[in-house]
Amino acid sequence: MIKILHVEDDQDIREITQLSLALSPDIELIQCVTSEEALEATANLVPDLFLLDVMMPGMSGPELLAELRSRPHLRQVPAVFMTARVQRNEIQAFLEQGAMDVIAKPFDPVTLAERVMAMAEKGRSLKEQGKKSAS
Amino acid sequence: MKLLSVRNFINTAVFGIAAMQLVALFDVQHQLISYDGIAVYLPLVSAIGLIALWIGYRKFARSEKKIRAKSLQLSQESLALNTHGLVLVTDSNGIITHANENFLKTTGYDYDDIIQQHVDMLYYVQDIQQRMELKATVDAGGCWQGETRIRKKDGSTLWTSLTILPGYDRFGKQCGAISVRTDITEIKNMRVTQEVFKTLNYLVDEVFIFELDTLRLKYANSAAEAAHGLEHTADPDTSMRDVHPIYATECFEHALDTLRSAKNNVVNCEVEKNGRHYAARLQLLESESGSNDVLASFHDVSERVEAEKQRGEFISIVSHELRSPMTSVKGAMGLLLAGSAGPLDSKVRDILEIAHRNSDRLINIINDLLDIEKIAAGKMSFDCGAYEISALLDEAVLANENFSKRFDVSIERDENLKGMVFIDFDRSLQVMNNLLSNASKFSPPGGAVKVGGRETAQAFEITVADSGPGIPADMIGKIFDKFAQVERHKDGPVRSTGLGLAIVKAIAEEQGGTVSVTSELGQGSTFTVSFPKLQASNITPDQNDLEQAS
Repeated sequence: MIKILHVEDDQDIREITQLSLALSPDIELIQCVTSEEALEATANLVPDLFLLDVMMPGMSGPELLAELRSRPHLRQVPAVFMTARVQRNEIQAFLEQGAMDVIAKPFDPVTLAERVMAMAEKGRSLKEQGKKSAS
Repeated sequence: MKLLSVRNFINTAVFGIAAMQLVALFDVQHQLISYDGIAVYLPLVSAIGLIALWIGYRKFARSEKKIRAKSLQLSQESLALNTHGLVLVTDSNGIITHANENFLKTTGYDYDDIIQQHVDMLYYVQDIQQRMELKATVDAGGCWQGETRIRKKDGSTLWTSLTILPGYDRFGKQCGAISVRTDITEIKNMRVTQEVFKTLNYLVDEVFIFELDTLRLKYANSAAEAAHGLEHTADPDTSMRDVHPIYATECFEHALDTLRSAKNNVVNCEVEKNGRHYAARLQLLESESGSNDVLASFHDVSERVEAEKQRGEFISIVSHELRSPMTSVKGAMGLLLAGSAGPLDSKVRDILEIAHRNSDRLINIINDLLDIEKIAAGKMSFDCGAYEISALLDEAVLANENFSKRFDVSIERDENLKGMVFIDFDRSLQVMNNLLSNASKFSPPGGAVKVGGRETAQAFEITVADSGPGIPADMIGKIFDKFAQVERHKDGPVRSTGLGLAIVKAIAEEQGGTVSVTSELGQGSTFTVSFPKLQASNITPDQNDLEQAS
């Protein structure tokens, strides 16, 4: 089972994302409305992937990611931004901020689960490689 | 002169003989002159004759002196005229028959260059009207005075103050013209310079003139003086660096280095000072003294920059605000069509597919608007690399197959085109997608879009041909303009923003390629887009890995 933490302030998009990811039985989805809520939820939770909106009231997606990365137990959790800001320079900036990938809005709901699973798997294997090289 | 002297001598002799005849006339009793051939009073007659001769001689001598003086004066006047003035003589047909040394020296022409040539050769085409006016004055026997310019042999302009008079032949008949000019080019240029400086002084833009090597400030207009508190711009110690720190920055130095290297006479750049943005234009001034001066003008473009920034932000926000709800709309429809809510009735599916398709269209419009905004702002970025042209065409055809099927149109591709191009793959794919989707839209059902091309020395020229209605002749030249729309058939299936081809053109040209179109009404249109071939100079050590090409 892959555990995904999704942070999105738009209720409709949250629902569409939930329905899309429900197409895969291997995904367990935890959804938060704000960044602050996500920080609270991750106090004792280590998901396999962060799926973050970028433009949110209060703390933005990139700010949230920076905060999550500052917590040692979340440092290696891969993050993917879901955003409508998909200009080339914007994508580049998100990648430089530590995101593994960027999913452009509007996304294809049929293939979203597949994409997210692939990224979570990639994150897992990178984590294991990191562990091996450390030992 | 000689003729005049002989005439005076004859006059004198005739006067002497007449005097003797007069004496003989009154000597009726032959007391003075006897008829037997003996002069009774010969000494007296001789004396009268001698007196007459002496008077005649005196008159002759005085006349000779006057003539010599007049002649000398004329000669001096002629010398002065020839030294000072530029003299030109033309015949009645306007053919140059004489030019003085000064004229030849000043204009640079050789005698043979202009003699027997029409005087119009010296005039600029736009000044022929003036020449016709002065000719009319002279032909009417008048004198014309004014300023004219003529073309020197080296092509430069000679401004002259001209006096032109009718010429006369030896029978006193009016014949051609004699013109005398003085060179006023320097005065004229000085007047122009004064006018230029007067205009510069009134400009809102800041204008400086400074020495390129020393940066010594030579001139600042009122706007520049006011902006920088300059009181006396002729102060020899004032350097441009003292005027504002911006003139000591690396960016400004770089612009000056470009001028110093003589690569360009003009450098344009944008600078920011005191929180405002300026479009700077630095122009090297030609100086006869040999020192290189720079004319620098600074146009405040802060409002434009701010407006552009706001427009960019507005577009970005609007596009984001549009995309977010589209995520839900498209997502919901996509899930329904995927059967997330159970099987769909065929009629429901048809209607849902229309909505889903149009949500895609809306997203494409948003993307086009964003792209055109980036192009307008010069902010479209390109990440060029080495790619196989066939890979680009494969992907473009694959991406458009479903779209063309909707119009019952097939895509036929020439498989023989192979070779490396140096392009931004995604942007080039966008170009091909635009051309292929247009061609599909405009082709009749059952028709085919043909993708072909050829290899030239510098590029691969890819053609996309449809068998649609063609483009009217009056639209061909505008087809790549923003918002250009060809009038569609009344049953046209899909509308567009009119931005696609403008984006195609901008991308093609930005990559060093071109795009063009040929079309025939009722026969179809062929768009040709060129993608530059990979050159040795494109490969830097970082880009040497061509694996991405496959």
